Amino acid sequence: MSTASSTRTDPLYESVRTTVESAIRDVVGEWYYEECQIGLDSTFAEDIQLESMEVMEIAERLIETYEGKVDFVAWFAELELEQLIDLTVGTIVDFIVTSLEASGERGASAEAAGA
Amino acid sequence: MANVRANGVELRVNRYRVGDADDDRPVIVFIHGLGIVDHSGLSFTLGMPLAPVADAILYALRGHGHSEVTPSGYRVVDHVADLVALLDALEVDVPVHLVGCSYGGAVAVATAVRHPERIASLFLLDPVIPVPGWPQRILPMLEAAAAQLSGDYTVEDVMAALGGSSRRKAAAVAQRAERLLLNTTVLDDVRSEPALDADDFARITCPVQAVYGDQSEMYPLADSLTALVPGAEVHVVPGADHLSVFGHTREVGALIRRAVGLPPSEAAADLVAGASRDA
Repeated sequence: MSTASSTRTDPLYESVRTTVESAIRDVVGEWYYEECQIGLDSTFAEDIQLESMEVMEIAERLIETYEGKVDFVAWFAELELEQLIDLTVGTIVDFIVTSLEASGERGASAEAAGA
Repeated sequence: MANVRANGVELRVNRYRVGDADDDRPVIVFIHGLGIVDHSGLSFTLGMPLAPVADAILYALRGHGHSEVTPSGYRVVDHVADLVALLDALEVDVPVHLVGCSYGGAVAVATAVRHPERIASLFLLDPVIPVPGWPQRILPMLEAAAAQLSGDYTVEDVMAALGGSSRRKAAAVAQRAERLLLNTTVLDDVRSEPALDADDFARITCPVQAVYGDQSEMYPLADSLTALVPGAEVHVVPGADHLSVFGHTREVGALIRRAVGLPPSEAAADLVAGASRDA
């Protein structure tokens, strides 16, 4: 369900990816993160074996980080149960990137990422 | 996300409202079940989808999720007091629609009995109904888990019980279950719960709807509900057990929208009619 138009090497994408990965690391712990070999294609439910309250923790960290720029609640509201179960790290990254680009934050975020 | 102190207890609360402020939108409060769960799953499947049209409030009961684990106070009346205090703390002064899931159904019913003026409607999802003998609907499972946790168990046992989960997840679940079942009065509180009587149920003046799976151990309580609350509407999900009822999120979400007076979402309009025929 990739929706981002950005390439996977541009600074905005890398910045968002790093932020998402950091949120996951904070919740599951460094050791488990490495053990799971978490990547963009990893699903939260099956591959990372997250409980719903952990997904909530990650979502809340991202909501706080991107407050006012990314409407996570409206996005989650549109997802079917099957899509929630199949949610991957890459899907979240793509959604955030797309949202930031739509809100005209590309330049600012890229700058923040050191571009 | 916020922690709110209510009735002397720190409760984790999530409140979802999307779009322009609209004072007329219904306030819907979700009450989850007892055990290792909290409100997170309900937030994703039912709470957030209502955010564009409602004021959806979800919270973790005391002893659950990120809410405070108090050493005691796990009777239904304690949860009712927590809920009413939470509404006060959130400055919710309009009657709210309660969605009570499993054990949360008993909390919802008891709230409507004790505080009918605060409740606009009840929507109960495979609920416990607090009729005589109701604790036995949930005690065997809780006591079995407590016995296992207080004996010699391994993380592998928990992994197997959870259907092959990761070691990390199994350890976290076991830790939460131990915290609630072995370190609080929850088991004694459930064992000593009184039942509500017919006079109590007569105090429920709001509309009541329930969804039951016909393979659920809770299903026999549907007859009690309709006998004690005339006019209560029961929807049945054929083939669904207690857990799988909660997977019917589109149908349940559509029924909740109808129950609180919202127009059906475009995608779910057909599901409302379909679900009603199952009643």
